[in-house]
Amino acid sequence: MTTSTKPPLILLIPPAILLVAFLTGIGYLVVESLRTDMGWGLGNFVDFFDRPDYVAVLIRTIVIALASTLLAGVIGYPIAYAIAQYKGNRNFLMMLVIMPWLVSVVVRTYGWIVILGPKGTLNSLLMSLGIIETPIRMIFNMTGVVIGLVHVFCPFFIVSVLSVLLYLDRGLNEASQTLSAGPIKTFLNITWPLSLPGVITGAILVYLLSTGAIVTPLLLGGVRDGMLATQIYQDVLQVFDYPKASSMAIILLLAAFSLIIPLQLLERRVAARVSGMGR
Amino acid sequence: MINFKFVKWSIAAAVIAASGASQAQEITMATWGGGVGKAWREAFAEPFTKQTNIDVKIVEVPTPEAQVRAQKDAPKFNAALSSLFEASQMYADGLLEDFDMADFPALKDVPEKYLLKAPNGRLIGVSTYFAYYGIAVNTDLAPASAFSSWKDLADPKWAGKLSVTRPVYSSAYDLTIMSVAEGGSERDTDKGLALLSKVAKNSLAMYSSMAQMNQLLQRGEVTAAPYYSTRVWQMKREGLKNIEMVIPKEGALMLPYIVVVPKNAKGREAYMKWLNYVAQPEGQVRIADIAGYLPLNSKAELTPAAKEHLGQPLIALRDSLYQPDWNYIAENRKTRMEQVERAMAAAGS
Repeated sequence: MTTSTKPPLILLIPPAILLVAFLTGIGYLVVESLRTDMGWGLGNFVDFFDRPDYVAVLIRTIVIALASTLLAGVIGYPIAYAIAQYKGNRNFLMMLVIMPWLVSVVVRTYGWIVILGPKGTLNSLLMSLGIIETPIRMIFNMTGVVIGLVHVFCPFFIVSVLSVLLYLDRGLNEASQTLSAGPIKTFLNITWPLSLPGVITGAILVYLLSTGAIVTPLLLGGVRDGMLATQIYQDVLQVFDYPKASSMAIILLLAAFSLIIPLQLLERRVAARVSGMGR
Repeated sequence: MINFKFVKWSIAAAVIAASGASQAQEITMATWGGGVGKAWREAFAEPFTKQTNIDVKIVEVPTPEAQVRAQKDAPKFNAALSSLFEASQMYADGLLEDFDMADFPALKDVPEKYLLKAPNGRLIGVSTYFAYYGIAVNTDLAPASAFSSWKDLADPKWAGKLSVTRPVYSSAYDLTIMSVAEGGSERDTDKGLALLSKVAKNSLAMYSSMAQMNQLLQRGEVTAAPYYSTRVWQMKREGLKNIEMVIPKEGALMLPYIVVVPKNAKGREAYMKWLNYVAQPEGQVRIADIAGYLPLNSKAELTPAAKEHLGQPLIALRDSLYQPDWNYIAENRKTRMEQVERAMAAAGS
């Protein structure tokens, strides 16, 4: 005799509410983006792509988001791996990872100005040691924005990867080593492939959050380092041009989906392979 | 036997009526943050409440204009502080009440050019004080005399040592005064735009808040920037001796501020009293002492401390500043912003 494993339908209510709210918001954005001074149409989108400075902002947004995601992965994965391997109090290490979330993003971002600014601690140190003669420009450019975004969003990557690493069957590692594979071979053939779903989820999170970042590009970017979300912020809250801002939001959404959808397909394939169902 | 249902409804009705009455007798005013709200409480709100028994709630928001627009159909504020170009555009969009000059006798002491009027001659709010837009300099890094002209900001020797504000404000302020410096005006901005583009090219950062700009200047991350006189006043008041405000030889930009009333706001009797109060010299003198906003009312007599800080007669300063046609700037806001955005983007290439 088998018992039914179907979850009760009531559990669908919260996701349904979220889905309805999301779709309503998107629907509103689409309708608003089609409003122009001369009636309904694609004028706002045409205007956007007619302006080379806006197209540059879109490309810059994607490049910065990709760079931040890559860097968050390079920094975040070893940290997640180290925490997963740690035999002591992991909760304490997790606390350290998420501790920055307890501080306002504005305050944290200002911290980078104190450290990396032309008159900041690092430049002053390098100059006093005679290593450089004039300050290196580490912020108020794209590098600064990427540093700020990685700092803010890296914990999301770490938590995503860690949530997978902690539930890996340690027996697989032992089996691999029993079969005389060294730690590197074991990592490359066992741990890394099995942790890929966490890596992909973390990458999706960091990429999405980076494309929508406002505060960090505003504070750490230079005059020409604005991102699309900062442009939308300006058009909504300072210029009050909602149709233009909506069209930009749709473009940002499509830019985000253009990477997220392939990544999600990849994640499914990886998950299927990991669970032994993939061919 | 007591009818509890009746009592409950009576109490509820009384509470609603009381809250309605209190709202009608209250002023809820939106101001910018960064110390503006605190200055308004001390200079205007508290003395006004003492005098009239009408409560004034000063609410600091990132942009008062955004609040007025967001509450278009049901305004929660019955007063808002605004710049002239923002007020002009809000009025054009049907978001503000207008008034008769006769409603505010104190405004006869404010020169006509600092009042904001609609095309039909009606008054769009009450002009109360002004700041000016000049060049703030960190004198540890450069003497104030190095910026005696707006054109000095374009000198390549300042590359990476300046800052500019966002296009929403630079298209109204920087573009106007730089056009004046180049022999143009708010209507003739071609040369001013080229100058602004060079200044943007020299800029390390685009400041998005006063706190950010204060920090950039104080830490010496930037040497100079087009900035607000009131911010420099406040920094000096806090004891900073290395920040100076320069009025370039071509002049500085006059920035009058105005108290407006959102369309269909409640409590007309209270807000009319409030508008009359802020038009008087007394509160304007107090806020000059507190925050460096200078009176527009010609009868205002600054305190000795404020006079010393100013370093020149108030009227002389006021009349030397360039007062553009803010209605024209508001009408052309989108075009000007687009021009500035493009110029700033091109400045990097």
